Amino acid sequence: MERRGDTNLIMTNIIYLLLFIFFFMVMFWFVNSYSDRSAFYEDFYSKEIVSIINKAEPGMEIKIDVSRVAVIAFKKTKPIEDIIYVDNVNNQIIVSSRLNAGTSFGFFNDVDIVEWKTEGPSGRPENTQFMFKVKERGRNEL
Amino acid sequence: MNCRRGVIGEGLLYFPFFFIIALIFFGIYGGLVAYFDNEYDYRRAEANLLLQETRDCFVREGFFDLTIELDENVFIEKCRFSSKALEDGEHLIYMKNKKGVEFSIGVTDFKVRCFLNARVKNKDFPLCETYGEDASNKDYLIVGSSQNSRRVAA
Repeated sequence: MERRGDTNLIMTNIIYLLLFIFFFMVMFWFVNSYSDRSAFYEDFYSKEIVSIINKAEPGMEIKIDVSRVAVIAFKKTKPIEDIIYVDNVNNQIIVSSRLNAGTSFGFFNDVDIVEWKTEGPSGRPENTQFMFKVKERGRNEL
Repeated sequence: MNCRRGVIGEGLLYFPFFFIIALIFFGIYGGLVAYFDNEYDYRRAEANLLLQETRDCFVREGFFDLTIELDENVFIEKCRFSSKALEDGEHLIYMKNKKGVEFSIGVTDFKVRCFLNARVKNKDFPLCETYGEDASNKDYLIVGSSQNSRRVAA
């Protein structure tokens, strides 16, 4: 009778410890996945790019160094050319260094961003640049 | 004797329990700080830029001298702003010129929220910039932004 009780107690403790280890690993993974500051750099670059677009005039060609976010994306196996996306319909810049998630920010200047691309020399993330042209928007939306 | 040993063992089991509670707390806290807290505040910079662009446009187009109501479409076209951006619920441009003509686009309530004490720490509140003086026979412009970045599927 006493032996069966001891076995139950050991099993309970083992399950308890396994759950504890599992929970610890999940929590560690969650925090560690954001410790590279990917969310911060997505936010930073989306706002900096929007700031430049808001000041831009039609006809300008602009290059911005985005290597910090490109290095993070490269580590997470995100293709460099997919880091930045321009949504001209909703006036949004979307910066993404993670798979399936990103950060967006809106610009108020009524221009179209065309021929935009993100490129690094020889496919490496260092010295990656976001290049685009600013074009006057057609007035047919009014 | 046996009974006493059991009590000690049972007491020791509380240690991992409290450890887990502490781990949950610090884990969630660390996760939230790492994920959300480092966002940099762009509201003031955007309000500044919007004020500068608006003021330049109003001077250039003579909107400060208008004696009739300013049409929203004319304003959007002449100042080259995106109507979608200004009417997204996170911006305000309000003008009252020296002749008493008023014009407003965006969230009118920002005129109140811009001056609440909570506006600096709470990023849901707008930060505003003003030009001129809110008095009769004076040009007055108030521009505000409460725009923050959004997490989206990409």
